[in-house]
Amino acid sequence: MVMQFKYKSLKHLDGHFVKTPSIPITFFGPSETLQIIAVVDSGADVSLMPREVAEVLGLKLDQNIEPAFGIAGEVQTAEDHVRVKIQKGHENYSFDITVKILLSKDTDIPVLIGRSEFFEEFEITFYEVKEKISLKKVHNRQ
Amino acid sequence: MADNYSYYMKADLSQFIGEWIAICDEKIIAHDSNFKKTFEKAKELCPNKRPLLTKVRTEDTMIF
Repeated sequence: MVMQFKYKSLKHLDGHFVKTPSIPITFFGPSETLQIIAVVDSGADVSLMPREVAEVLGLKLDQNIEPAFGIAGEVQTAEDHVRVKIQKGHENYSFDITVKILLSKDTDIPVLIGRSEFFEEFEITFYEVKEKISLKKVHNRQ
Repeated sequence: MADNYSYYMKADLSQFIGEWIAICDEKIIAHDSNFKKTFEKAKELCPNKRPLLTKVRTEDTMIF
């Protein structure tokens, strides 16, 4: 019922640690299946991926092109849907999510999992002090 | 995927900051700033298996 993932801790050159709530997700695209560790971003309305990842998956880059806005400014995005699977131990869940595809090349962002659709599948709790994230499946959805 | 994920969680990735990495058979088999190059190299070195891919975040604070 509950999947827990520890934050990934990364030591930088100056000695300080950055900790990120990231989880392994399988993305099933028309062209390719990719296993990617994505960052869970509760502040993002929708999930976001770099153009290069979307191209390998075979997602469409010419649908619903529109700007998206964040603290870092305005970016041009396309939109498509992709099936995802999240698995931990004996539990695994698959469903479709909408992804915004960042159209500019060579961006410095990871794959981000935002709230739309993904957060409707689980009760998600961030335990910042314990450095872990918990996903509890919500069963009243089809 | 579970073994590669366990490796990822324990690994010191500081030398790969800002790069994509590919993990297969519990080791990093490819890394590059370009995702496609990383993926293609990983497919070549780890055929018939599915590597675990991730971007090692930079030192910058991440805000979007």
